[in-house]
Amino acid sequence: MSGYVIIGNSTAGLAGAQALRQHDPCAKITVISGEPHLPYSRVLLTHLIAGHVVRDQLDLTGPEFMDRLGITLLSGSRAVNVELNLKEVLLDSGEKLQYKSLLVAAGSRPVFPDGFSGENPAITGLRTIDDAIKICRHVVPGAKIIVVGGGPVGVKLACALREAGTMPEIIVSSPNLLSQVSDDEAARMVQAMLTSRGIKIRTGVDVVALHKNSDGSPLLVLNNGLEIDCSLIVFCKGVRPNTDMFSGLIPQGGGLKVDWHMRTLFPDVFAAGDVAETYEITRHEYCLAATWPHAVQQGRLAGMNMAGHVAAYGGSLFRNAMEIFGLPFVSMGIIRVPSRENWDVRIMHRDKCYRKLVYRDGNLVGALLVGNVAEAGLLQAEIRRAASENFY
Amino acid sequence: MMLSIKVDPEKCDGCGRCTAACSLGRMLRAVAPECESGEKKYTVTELAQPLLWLTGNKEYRIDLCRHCEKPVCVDVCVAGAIKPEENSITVQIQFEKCVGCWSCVMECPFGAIRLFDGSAVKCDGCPGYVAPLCAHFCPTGALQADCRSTGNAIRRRRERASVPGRINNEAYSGKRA
Repeated sequence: MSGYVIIGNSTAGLAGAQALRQHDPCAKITVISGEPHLPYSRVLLTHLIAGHVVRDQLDLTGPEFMDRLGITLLSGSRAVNVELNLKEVLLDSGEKLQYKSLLVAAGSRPVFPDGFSGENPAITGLRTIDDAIKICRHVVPGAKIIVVGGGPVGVKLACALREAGTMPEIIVSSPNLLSQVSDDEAARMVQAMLTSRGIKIRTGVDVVALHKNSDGSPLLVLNNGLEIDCSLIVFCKGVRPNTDMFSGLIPQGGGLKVDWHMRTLFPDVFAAGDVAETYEITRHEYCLAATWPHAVQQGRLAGMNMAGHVAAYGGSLFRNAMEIFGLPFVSMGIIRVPSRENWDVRIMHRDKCYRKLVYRDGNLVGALLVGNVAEAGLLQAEIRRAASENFY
Repeated sequence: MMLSIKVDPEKCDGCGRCTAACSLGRMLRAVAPECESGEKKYTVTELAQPLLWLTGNKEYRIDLCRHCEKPVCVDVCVAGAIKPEENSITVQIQFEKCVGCWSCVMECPFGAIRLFDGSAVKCDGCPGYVAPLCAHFCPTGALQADCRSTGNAIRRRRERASVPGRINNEAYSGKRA
């Protein structure tokens, strides 16, 4: 008997499984999980490193959850191939699973530049609990840990490492931190905050190679010729969706484009979370929006649509919220204005509060709030309202 | 999740009892013995940040939680700290789980959540009382609590649209008059 198969047991996969069970009480549901752990919150990994939470608090469900919902969990096995014609998923154990419909929520993995490999004990990304434990092992007071990449993950990780007592250093190839989600002014505020807390930031440089000192400790070489001694290098230079099981069918490293019902181009295959390329409502194009809120929402919608309960997605909106040593930071939609024509920007900058609202043709399409973020929710509602009214 | 507090600004005379009752009530609950294990206590400064504020001359600011049927804050909470109470009509924040990531603040379309002392706070519907204190102490009936455990989504949606928010969304819209 073939039932529903879900690849991935994290945020999106779990939301999908719950929705499937809710709308189809008797169906057979199988979840394939590459990690042997219970599902956990990846966003809390930096908080685990900082010591705000303990390991148990990361778990999203209890051990009895899957049994209670009557879901078969194949823990520690990966899907290596999907036979679209036979409707079969091939696992790394050689086992084959028939599906009636398939949800791909396999997540993503960190990108390592050429010449650097995650196999090296001195190199890691930050995506899984194993990565976080690897980082925690290097957390000793005064240890020098290099964070490569100045995106939200890199900044949050650097803050966490500093709170844990180490001396982190951020290396970012663009001239400013947070270049994707912030403008120069707000980035300067964040940068000043980080520097004042003892985090060293090098902008405009990139890593070239990793050598070993005579005592075996890693030595990182930058493209300006500088050599830095460190104990660990963490790459936070973005992620790539885990879509290898569709190799040959989609471009290498690409996502699965989904429609408003989370349906991919392939028959009876749905996608949600980091692997799904969804429509972004301010940029008007299909993008990978790899954040928690998107994963939950897409997972649930995919589950509902798989069970025949038609529901439409409202579109993704690039957004990020974080706290940098007590300084709240929220960024939504388009922050950098490409041209002056048709675009309007309103900036308010007072002491430690910065607010930038971006309008396109008179409609709010972006907001950046630093310091006081109380109205962020209202702004997001306005962005979504304007986008739905001007949909084309 | 059906607790809703309805506001009729026309009836408000600006006495400020709702504000005081809200702040005091939350303070009292925070220092109550059974809450002490939570280790987070409100201080008097919280009095300066009430969740609602009305004056008689139609100026008001209402950041009240709507205790939505499909709460977005619950979906986006990365720590599992916001949960709809079982067999109850409210959505509650567990302070000891909250890590202060601002996700819910960014998500709530009513601006009902803010951060205080490192964790998210919002209207908790005054658990332990027969009615939310703000509505209970309102002498003119400008605030009215509607506690029912069932309801239909359409009625709720209509109501939600009619409840005035803190800031008129038009203030953010770029269209000039």
